[in-house]
Amino acid sequence: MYDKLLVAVDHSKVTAHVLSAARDLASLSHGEVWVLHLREREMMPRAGVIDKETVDEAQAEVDAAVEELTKAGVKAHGVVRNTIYGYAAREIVEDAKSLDVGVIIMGSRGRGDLAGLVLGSTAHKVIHLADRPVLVVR
Amino acid sequence: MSGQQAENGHRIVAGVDGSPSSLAALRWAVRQAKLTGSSVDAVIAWEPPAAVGFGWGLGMTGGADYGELAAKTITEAVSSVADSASPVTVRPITGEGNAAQVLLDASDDADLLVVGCRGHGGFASALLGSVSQHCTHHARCPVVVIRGGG
Repeated sequence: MYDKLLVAVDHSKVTAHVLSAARDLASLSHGEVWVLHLREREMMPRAGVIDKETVDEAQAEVDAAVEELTKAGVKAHGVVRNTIYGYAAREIVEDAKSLDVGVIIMGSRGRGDLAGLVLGSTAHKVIHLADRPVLVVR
Repeated sequence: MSGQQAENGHRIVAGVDGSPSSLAALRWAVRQAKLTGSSVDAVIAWEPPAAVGFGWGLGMTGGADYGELAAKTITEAVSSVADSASPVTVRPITGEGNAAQVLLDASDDADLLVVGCRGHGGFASALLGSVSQHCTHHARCPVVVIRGGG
């Protein structure tokens, strides 16, 4: 059912659930998983580019996810890329298109979203912009 | 509202209103159920329009019983995805009330809720229907929004 799956992670509390959903779906359909982490960076006048996390932190999260999936027998690839704050959703959707994945899997609320939100801004945008199924995990 | 559980206890709820998008959601739910050994509850909601007999309300249905119309729609939708070789149990369920709320109630203890991106009520230009949007915001279980053909 899914030859390819795209999983977007961002250190949020639901990442474990997101990965377990990806693992289950990929195992059942013998699919291949791309774990994508976008480092959102803010451009500030004078201060320049502000990173919210180090490259190592981002890479460590993706590596851990890839390792977890690989241990479960799922072929997984990790991708860490920089983007500008607010552009993550667009890039997730573009990656999903270029990889031609069967489903996008992501958490309902990311690290950057307000605690009271029931659906984070990135998930919200991805659902609106995507041209393929989106699984929102909470 | 919730139907019987499949043998492994997993249950997927699909929101159906007869629109192409909702039928894509139902097909997706059935494929997913096949993968996971789940059962599917195909749920349709209906409520009498605020002004029965005025405007489209009476005109569209000819005064028919709205519940019966909903039951007919869901039965046809379930038949359209039925596969004699398929082991998946698909139950047609009709609920009275606001569509989003009926789906949220039906999926309260489900493993997954699957909805289309736009039903009958959406403006052609709307990127995501209001029911789908409400479900992604408030469902207790993971939600799949079927964009494109599913």
